[in-house]
Amino acid sequence: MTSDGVIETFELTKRYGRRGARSVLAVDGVSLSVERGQVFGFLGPNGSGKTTTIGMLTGVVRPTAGSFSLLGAAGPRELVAARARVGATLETPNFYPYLSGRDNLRIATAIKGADRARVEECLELVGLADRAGHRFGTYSLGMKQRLSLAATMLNDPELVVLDEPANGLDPQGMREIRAIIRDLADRGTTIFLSSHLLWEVERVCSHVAIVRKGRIVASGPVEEIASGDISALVRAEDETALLEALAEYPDGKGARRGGEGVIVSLASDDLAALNRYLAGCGIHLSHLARHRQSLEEVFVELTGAGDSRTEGGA
Amino acid sequence: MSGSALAQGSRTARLAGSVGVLVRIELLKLLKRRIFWVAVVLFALLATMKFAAASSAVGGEMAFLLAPPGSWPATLAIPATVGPAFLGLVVIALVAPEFTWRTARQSVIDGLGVERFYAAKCMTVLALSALSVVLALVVGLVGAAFGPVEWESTALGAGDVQFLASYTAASLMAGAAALWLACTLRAGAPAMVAFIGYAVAEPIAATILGGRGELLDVVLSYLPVELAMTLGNRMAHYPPEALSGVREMMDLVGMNLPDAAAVKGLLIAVHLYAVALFAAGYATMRYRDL
Repeated sequence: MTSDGVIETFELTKRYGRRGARSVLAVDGVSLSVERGQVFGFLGPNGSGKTTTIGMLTGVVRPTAGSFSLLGAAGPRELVAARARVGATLETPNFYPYLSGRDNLRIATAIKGADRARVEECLELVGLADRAGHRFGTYSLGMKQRLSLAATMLNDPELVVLDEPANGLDPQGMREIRAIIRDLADRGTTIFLSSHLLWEVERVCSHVAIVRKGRIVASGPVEEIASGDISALVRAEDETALLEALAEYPDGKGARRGGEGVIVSLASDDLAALNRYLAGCGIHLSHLARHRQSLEEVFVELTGAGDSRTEGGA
Repeated sequence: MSGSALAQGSRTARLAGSVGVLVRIELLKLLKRRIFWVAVVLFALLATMKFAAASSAVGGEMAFLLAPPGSWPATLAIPATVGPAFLGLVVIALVAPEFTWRTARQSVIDGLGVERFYAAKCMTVLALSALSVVLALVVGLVGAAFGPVEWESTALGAGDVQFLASYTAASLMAGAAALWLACTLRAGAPAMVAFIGYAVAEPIAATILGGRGELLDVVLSYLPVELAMTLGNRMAHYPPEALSGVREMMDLVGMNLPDAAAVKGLLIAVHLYAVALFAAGYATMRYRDL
């Protein structure tokens, strides 16, 4: 395994419980590479192994098999030192409820060996300076998430790992978190972002890995993943006849009803040929355009996750 | 200075810095925790009440028991009788929420590491154990200062030192057991139930099983709660001529006390328990996911 990447995993595996009916294979041989400067989205339905993978990277979950490196460090002692150069949160924001936001950040500063002056700077950055003296237990979920982000930035980290940072936030809160993530990315920080909010990932990430039942099913630049399939959006008066004709189209790889018509997957990008074929079938199109698959469509296709397990964008 | 000496110096400086960070973090958490101050006040109140009760029971020829050095056995008996159990419960109340709040997990993620997190908790157990002794001594000294008897000397005698060492060891054992339970069960209420449950169950089991053989009786006398109770009894640490009146009363009710040589064996056993429990707590932290 090379250690040039910021995160490198090789066949990382986690099984809960001993082998048998009651054991759960949460992460199954995950190999991925995150390069410096990337905003890497780690996508998957709930229970697909995202948090467990991050848990292994952050040292709170012991891998069953496989290996990984973080900022080039792979040994147990080196990893502890490397984690001080990483800002990470896992699931919900974890702070002492009886301490103020400021005191919680002071503790994180001491652990990370960061400059104490960073506490006020980071509080200012996430817009919590006014409430910094209040107990964490009195914060709203949005404020807790923002404090969590402030904590990840204390040591001016080379890598920020965020697990579902927009969970439970209202649209305004999501916008704020997105702006902070973009700001971090603009400053060259590598970001590893786990989420099931596909539109959120599509908006902020440069690269993505899609995970299903503990296995990576697709990985690469967002543009490449989202537009990996050639398809067209077509509309006609008789949609049933259109679908029947498309099912017989020699260059077709399948058709389905989309939001505004029928989406047909194609073996080639010759839309004129498609138009001629349909006209030959007596179907005159009212709309024909190249269709770019959204990340959500790719996600649904690869993971089989329905709308109940993902959330559409605002 | 040689290279190895420099390296040694650098390691020592790093260790000191690391310990300093842990102390700073734990102090910030401890001093702002309401339950800590409630425990301190409660313990001081208990100690005051016990001291006042002991003082009101003596007089005349026994008046020397009201001021140091004669009062040290009674003063030290205050933390020795309730201290270990109280300390255990306080340790659970302070440590277990680190798991329910998931702050233990976040500390490891932030780069503290499991080892340093656990070391910080062990330091807290030591500090609380020392604090309970200091509190009892302060109560004893303040009580004596306002009492009717002039002080001769505040110096601790050999028996006092042995008593203090025994109490500290018993506290460490109780603290280590509490820490292990908190790290294993990861929730305050179940850990407290287990801690109290064992403290109640062991003497009952010892009573039922006792008197069925010499070897079994020896084994029972080395069980943790039995050890703490024996070492927490001031009579075990002073020569027969000291506290003779109280000692005669103990003989009358048929209470047997170990001799000085046996106390040393008990002390070793308590230390072994403490080390084993601290190690068990560390193993739990090290090998279980957070």
